[in-house]
Amino acid sequence: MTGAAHDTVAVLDLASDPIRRPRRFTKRSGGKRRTTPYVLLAPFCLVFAIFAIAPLGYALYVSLFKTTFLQGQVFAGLSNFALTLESSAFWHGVGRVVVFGAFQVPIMLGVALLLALLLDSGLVRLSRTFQAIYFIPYAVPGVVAALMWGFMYEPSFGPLDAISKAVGFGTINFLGTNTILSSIGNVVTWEWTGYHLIILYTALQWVPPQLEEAALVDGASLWQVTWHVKVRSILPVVALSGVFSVIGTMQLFTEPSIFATLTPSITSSYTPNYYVYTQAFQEFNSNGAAATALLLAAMTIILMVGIMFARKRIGRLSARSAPGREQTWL
Amino acid sequence: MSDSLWRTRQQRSCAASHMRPTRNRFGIFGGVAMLATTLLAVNVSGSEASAANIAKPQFNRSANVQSCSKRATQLTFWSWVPGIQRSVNLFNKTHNGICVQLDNVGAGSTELEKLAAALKAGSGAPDVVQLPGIEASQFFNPSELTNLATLGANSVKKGFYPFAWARLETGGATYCIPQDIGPMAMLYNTTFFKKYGISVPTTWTQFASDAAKVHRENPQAALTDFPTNDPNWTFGLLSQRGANQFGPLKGSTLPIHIDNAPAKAFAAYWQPMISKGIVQSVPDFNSGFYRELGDGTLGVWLTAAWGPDDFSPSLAGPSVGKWRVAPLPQWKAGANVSADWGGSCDAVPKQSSNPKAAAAFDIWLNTNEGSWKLMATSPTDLYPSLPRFANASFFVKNTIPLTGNQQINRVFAKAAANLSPDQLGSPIEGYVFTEYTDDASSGHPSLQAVLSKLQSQAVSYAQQEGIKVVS
Repeated sequence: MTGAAHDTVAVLDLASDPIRRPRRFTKRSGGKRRTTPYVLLAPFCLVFAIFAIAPLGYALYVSLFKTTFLQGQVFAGLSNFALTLESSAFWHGVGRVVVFGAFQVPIMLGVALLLALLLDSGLVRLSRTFQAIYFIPYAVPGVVAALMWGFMYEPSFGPLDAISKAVGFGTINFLGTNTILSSIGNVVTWEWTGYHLIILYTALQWVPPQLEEAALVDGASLWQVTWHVKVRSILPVVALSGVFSVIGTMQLFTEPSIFATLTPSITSSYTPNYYVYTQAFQEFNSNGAAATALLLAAMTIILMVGIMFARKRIGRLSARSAPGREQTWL
Repeated sequence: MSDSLWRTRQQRSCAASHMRPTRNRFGIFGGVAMLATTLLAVNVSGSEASAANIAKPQFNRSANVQSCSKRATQLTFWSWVPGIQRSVNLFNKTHNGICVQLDNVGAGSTELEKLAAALKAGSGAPDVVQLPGIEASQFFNPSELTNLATLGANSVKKGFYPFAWARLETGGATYCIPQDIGPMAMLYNTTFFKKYGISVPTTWTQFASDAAKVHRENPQAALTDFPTNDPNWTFGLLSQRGANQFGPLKGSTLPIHIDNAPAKAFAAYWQPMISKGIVQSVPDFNSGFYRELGDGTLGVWLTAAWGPDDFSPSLAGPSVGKWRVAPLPQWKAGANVSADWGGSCDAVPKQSSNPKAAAAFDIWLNTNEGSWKLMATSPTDLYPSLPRFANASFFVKNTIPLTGNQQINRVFAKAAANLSPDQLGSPIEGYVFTEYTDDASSGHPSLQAVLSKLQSQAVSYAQQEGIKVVS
């Protein structure tokens, strides 16, 4: 899960939201004011061009060639893209992250939402302490977390195995081909739930207390206030977290790459992002890796655009059904 | 109606102002904890690319503490073998005109990633680089490495084991000087053998019956492990059977025969034992594997000459001193055939601006007696690729705690004497290694199926690379 996804969504959003687009300054306001925004934006654009656009361009260039052992670098057109698209292993990897996202993201957000609501409800003491505790896994670097969980999952002598033997389940191989995706899902959920908990809890703080009070006065129960007032108010935030999580899942790399050293269940194309890495550094095929990386980026962008369209339509539908409600976030 | 315990936020904040100060203290603690974790979170590692590096065995980077003459030719040397700094220091001391700086950028394939990146970038490669075993052959082309034949290699060729040199020659050019080799033998636990009442097998038939006996008496134990993730090891044992994957590259023609008849026979031998669980099939070189060797779950490790030394620390425990080395079981009774696993060579990348000096260092490192007296001892523990050092008394008399008072190098020397020059790498070795691991791990394929699939994958990949494939 990278920060780049956050930036991309924000930039696209600014362009499309009619309320937030900057007003044009006319000449009457003074010539200086017209150029100020561009001057202020220039450093960002320059840095973005050097560190984001230029490497993308180079990757595109590299992906159009092939480095053969005997003939050196030859122009290969789109054949690298064709090879990746034809590779069934690649599509297995894509399917894997899609299935992974379909299960892991709702579970993680569900748990985060539940914890946020619990901490916000006043039923729990020391809520800020608990927030800090839940946030700690996010502070653990991804590599360290994957290594730690790898040792815990170790089949013959890891602690989880000892527990399962003691309880009577015998030896469960958490790193076997059938179980490793769920094991990775567990690690990712452990890492990111606290992060989303903080976001959702903060969003809950902005639910106007008057709404809660009004609902109470109208005779709503705890459950009804929680669902109809709190959850429905922060649903756009939950959706946003969901979008970022899905984008992050598409780029799943750290956990598979660490587990690859512990178990043969991780094949070289286990996830698309890991496939980019193994093509570049195990098969020494940087041209193929560039093509795969660009394909992965294209798929992620298509997914994002699709989600945005879907959200716009759902947003319009809900606005029609609840005319009084303001449209927040996306 | 509203639960008495549950209040709206407003009610709670009103109540809080009437609360005792301890509430606030918890709040401050919570706030500080959150701030601390947030600051930690800002440092969250984004270096996912180095994830694999961290997980592979890593030795500390050793800084070159030797001070060299300022006018000396500066060379950089990439090697991961521990203790090789001593040989480098000796060279710097005895060659005032050259100053070699040692850099450890990772072991084996970790280093190869960085080398590949440097070669592609056109800069950043060292003057001398250690390359692992048969994977080295991927780099054997004139655009990436310097031909050392005319820089002194031809004059030292005679002193090396023929097989070690054969796999480093391509099309009349020598791109790498052999450093160490890995003749294979059988490391076995005498306590384990006594416990199950088996004798040291000298043929594979005997090995199979010993393995079956162990498994009958104790289904949790196994005579040995057949790792599914280690193409290097598997190819070594295949070579002992006479099954080599590749022939020599001649121009642009490469013979590929991964699943030829000897390979099929090899698979037919091991598969029944793997399927029935008589031998284990867990990945090697991880903590679970060492644990099993140490606690008596496994009794044999079919390993190379560097095996006992390098992994003694991981095999520590009550079994220290009880291990012994015997020759590999033979396919034909009375024969003395072994194979090579691992080993390494030193090459000079084309990017080097001092190829003559680099070649001189390369050759000195691998042929000088002073250098080998250091490299053959702890902690470097390399097995010499020159018979005169492998058979020298200072080397064969070595003992290590793991194997008690057995002079294990004598056993490895016998194995090294007969290694076949047909055991070769290929320009597509990286691809073959990756595909082998993939094929072996998806579902539970038979060894035969893996080798057949690998054959067709290797052939089509080689053809894509513009190589003409013959069988």
